[in-house]
Amino acid sequence: MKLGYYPGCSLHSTAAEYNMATEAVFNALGLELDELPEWNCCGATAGHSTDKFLALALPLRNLVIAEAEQQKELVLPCAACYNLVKGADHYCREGTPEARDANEELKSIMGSAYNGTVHVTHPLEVIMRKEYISKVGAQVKKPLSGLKLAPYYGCLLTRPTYVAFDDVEQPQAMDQLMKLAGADVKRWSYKTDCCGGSLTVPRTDVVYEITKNLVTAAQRAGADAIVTACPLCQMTLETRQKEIQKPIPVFFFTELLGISFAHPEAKKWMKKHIINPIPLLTSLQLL
Amino acid sequence: MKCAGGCPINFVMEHNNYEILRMIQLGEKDKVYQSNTPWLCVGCKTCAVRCPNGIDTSKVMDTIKMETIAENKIPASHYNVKLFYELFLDSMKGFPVIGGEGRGYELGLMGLYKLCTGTYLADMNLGKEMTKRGKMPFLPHNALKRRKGEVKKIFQRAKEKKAR
Repeated sequence: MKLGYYPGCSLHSTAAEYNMATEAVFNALGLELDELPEWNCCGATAGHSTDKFLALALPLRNLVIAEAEQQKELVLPCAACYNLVKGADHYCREGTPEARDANEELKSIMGSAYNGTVHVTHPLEVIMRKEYISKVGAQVKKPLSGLKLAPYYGCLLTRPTYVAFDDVEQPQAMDQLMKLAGADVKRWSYKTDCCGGSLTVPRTDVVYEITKNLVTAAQRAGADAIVTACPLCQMTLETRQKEIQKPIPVFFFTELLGISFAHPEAKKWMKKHIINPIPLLTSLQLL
Repeated sequence: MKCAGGCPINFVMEHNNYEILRMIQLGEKDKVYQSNTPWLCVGCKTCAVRCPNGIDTSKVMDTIKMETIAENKIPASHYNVKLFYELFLDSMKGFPVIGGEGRGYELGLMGLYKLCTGTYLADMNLGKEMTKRGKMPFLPHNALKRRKGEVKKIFQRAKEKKAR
């Protein structure tokens, strides 16, 4: 089956391994990702923090293109992009005055407006559907035995309620998926705490403090690695582990699925990490 | 207060989110503008899902940021956050000669941010490591071909709306 795909800026740069792993895993499950042509950046925090019109118009432009391409479903692996595009979709369906205004402007700029027919989704939500989760078990050739993981959802994947496909306070999707892949999933209290990603450049001092707390908590819970579903969480956690005696790798959930599927490209993804995960994986004979 | 209790940044915030709401009710505009709270809010929506009154405080923080900028009352200590936002959006408008309309351009953004703030050495090593791993492309993503100018027009409209 073909799905519309919006990688977002980071999957073409800072999270290149997430892009490769997601495509590989989806293909293994019989899903094809069809990249949205000429998509634009969702505007991220900068957009919604400074301009109400940009906050809606930038994500909406992508939905207009998805509709023109007859994509019924659009998959967004970045939690920030997913959150903003899903939000724009939600406000259009609700018919708020701001959304109507942004849509009218887009009609004059692009020739068409968004009619609210696209299902905006995240790869984690797609994989958790019955038809695909049943295939995951069959694909696991190298169970992640001995890999102690702390699943980290961060903020924008489960909040606010109109974007949530899982519980807002106690999400479980990644926990279940990683257990299915054979990992030793740890319980911890910080799975939905924000990583502070949007402040990572202008307020690095604050972000060091946040990541220190998160990583220490994961280690206290007994985890040897963190697994995420967002390129900004992954980058922030991997690059801001200051003062941590033994820094731990931060994986994307599709990378770990790919490893459990014994995907031949998996080593290539691992080489892109800033905190080298290869020693941990080879010690568990997973790579 | 479950909202402020769950806030991951409250340890550096001058005021809790509900205190900001109270200041707004009392009309203490200048106190709100001076507070570092809106500029440290990461918009994680923990407060929004917990509020029994259905208030999305992080959205209120966004509005405060917009008004502080519009009234030109932003304190110098929060300037870098605003600068980062501005440069991020600028990088989406594209650059002369090298182009790149429509998408974020990490290397350009970081270069400009460093030039504007004088923080040349911060993250230098990280930048090198990212480039080595092919995670920081040298050139911006030139994605808009058939649809050139659309994103520029969106920014143009945003500017016109603000001027009104």
